[in-house]
Amino acid sequence: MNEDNEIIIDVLNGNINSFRLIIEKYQRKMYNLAFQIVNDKDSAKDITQDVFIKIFNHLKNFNSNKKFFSWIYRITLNESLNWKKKSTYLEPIDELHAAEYSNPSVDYEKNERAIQISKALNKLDEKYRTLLILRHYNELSYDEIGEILELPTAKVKSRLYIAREKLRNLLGSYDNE
Amino acid sequence: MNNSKLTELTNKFIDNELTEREKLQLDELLKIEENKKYFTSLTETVGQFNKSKPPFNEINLEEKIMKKINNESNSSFGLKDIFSELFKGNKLGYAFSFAMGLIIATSLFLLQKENISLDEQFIQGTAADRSFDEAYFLDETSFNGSVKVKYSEGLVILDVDLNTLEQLDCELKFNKNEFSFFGVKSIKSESDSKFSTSNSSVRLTNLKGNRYLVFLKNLKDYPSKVHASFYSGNYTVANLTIDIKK
Repeated sequence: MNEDNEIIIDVLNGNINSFRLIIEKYQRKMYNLAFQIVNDKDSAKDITQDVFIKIFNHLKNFNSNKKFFSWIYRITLNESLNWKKKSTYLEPIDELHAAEYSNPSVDYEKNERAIQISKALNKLDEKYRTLLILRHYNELSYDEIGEILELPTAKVKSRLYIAREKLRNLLGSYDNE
Repeated sequence: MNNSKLTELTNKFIDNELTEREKLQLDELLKIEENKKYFTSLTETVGQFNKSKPPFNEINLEEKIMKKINNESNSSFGLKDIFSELFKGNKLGYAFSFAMGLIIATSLFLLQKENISLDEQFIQGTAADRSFDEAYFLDETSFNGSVKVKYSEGLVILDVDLNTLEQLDCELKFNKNEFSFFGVKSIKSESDSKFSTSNSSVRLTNLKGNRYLVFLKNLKDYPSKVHASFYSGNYTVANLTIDIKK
């Protein structure tokens, strides 16, 4: 039995405190994934907290034949995407949000490119944006992404190829402006 | 130019998945200027995208989340979980939930009624209780009360009713491989009562009249026991072994 499953059984047996180990292990990854999607630190924090509470409340529904990490990644992803859909008051990535991405110590041109990339990413269809984030920001393998999104690996691959192509086209259009 | 082949090989190059044979194929395709432009453009785009990754933020939400979880666990008790479980599902599930609700409502009504005559039953030494599968009565110098056992859908419900003039701690101990703590509901509280849990026990702290429903999830489907110990200060004033028959 893997370490995550042992902790889950302990929590389900009433040892609520063991849930700390789950939080400790996953909170940074989940927070950063949420942030990459919603582009807002406070919202990412709220999402992370909500996700952990949701996980705790539904722990008994977790299928131990599946990987725990893919389950919590999927919940974080869905919560973040739902949050993004609901928060109509937030504009797609702009200079203000892009400042979160860009490093003030690097030169203007690089920051400008970071802003363009953020804008392009937000213009992409959700399914392509998600794939690029999981693959390139989170450095997950195709198999891992397939488990999270419940897609065959071949589908993940072909969809990511399209996503890269679309990103290239969008950035190309900025270059031509 | 074979576009789809070039796309596939360029993406495989980005993912570092090219075989020796594919490397040669790609080299061949890149001899064409147009292909080379495409290759450079896509690899640069992905390279820039990789570099645009937001800095990894450190965060520590552990205490905040655990506080919320503990608060929820203490305030939601078991009934909420039971009902959310019951109301999940199809029409049959709803019908079942309705029937269960009716049974629970009737049981609670009967319990309430019987509570009034509890002392009298106890004085007469009655050990049987029709609304519960088992009932245990306690008559000690410092306190009196009862522990009744009910079974419902994989849950063992212990109805603990205690009357005491001094602070009395009741600890229910169980095997964590056989039961897990599911929730506790305070039915009557004449003074500030508290409870705490571990993975193999529930501790109820009482003064005056208190009544609780303690829900334990039955993890194994065979007879077992829950041990109840009653403490006044540092002294054990009573012990009780509760048979769990289902």
